[in-house]
Amino acid sequence: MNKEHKHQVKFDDSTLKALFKNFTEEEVPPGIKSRAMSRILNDWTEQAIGYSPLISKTNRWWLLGICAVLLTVTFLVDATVLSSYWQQITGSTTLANLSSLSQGFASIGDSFGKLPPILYFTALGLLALLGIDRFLNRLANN
Amino acid sequence: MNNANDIKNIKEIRAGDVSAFAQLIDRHQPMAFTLANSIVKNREEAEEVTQDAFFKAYKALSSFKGNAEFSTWLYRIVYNTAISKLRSHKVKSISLDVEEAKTNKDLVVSDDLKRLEQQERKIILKKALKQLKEDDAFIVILYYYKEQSIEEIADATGLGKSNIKVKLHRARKQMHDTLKRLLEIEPSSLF
Repeated sequence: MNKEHKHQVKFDDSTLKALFKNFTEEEVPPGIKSRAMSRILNDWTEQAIGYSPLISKTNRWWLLGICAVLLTVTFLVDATVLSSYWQQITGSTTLANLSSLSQGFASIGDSFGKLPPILYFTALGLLALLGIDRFLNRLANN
Repeated sequence: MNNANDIKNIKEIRAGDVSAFAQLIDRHQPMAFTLANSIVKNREEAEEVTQDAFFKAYKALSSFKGNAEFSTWLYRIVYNTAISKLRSHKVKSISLDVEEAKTNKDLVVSDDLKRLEQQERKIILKKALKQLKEDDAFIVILYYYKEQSIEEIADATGLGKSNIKVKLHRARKQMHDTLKRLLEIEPSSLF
């Protein structure tokens, strides 16, 4: 690029920059927004209503954990039922003798039963508070 | 500031408030229409292109990651929609048989422009832009009016940086020639 050509390019650039100071955007025809929004709203109403599940994947794990604990407690309290079912199905106690296991569970269940009810209510209250807190947080984030 | 408002509106739309898209349209429709018109060079078609572009932008909003400004992302949709429209109509760009400008005439163009009133300069500029090839006009507006960088224009068009530079150089030269030709006509006859 020779010096003269460089001068021309630079000159054109500054001339154009100066000229574009007077440039204004085109006047928009009035119907664009209403027609575009009409198409968008039509499309939106045609779409199936989607929702994100209230219980997310991360929430799912601790809920599953709580369920597992509750189930275990229930099982410990009433493990003898399982033992009697087993006997009914097999008609024999020799294949799997669950009596000692059920006795063990029953004793643990008894010890749970001896705990003052206030402990259960407090634990339930705390869990309910945690659940409500997470629920409200989720609502607030949406 | 505009981009912050755009991001806020996009969050609202994603949360289900579709009506927030109207604010995006309000904010961007003058530029979108101007850019569409710079390519299709026809107001009715530019109107269609702008509408289509906004609808496409709404449909593709989930793919907007926020890496670039929303406006740049929207201009790309406008560019692609306008180019597709143009190809479908097989409209030929207006070619000018303008004689090559001589270097020693450069100052004359500049001086003539200075003599013109603001309104006359505006009209002359619009006429010169109309003579440019479709995507050249788009690039020139983004570069000189929106003062976007070559990188941003590359994002908005999907063209390579070197290609943008070549197109800018060509457009600059053609605009210079066109301006010179238009200024040879009496300014009053431009209206």
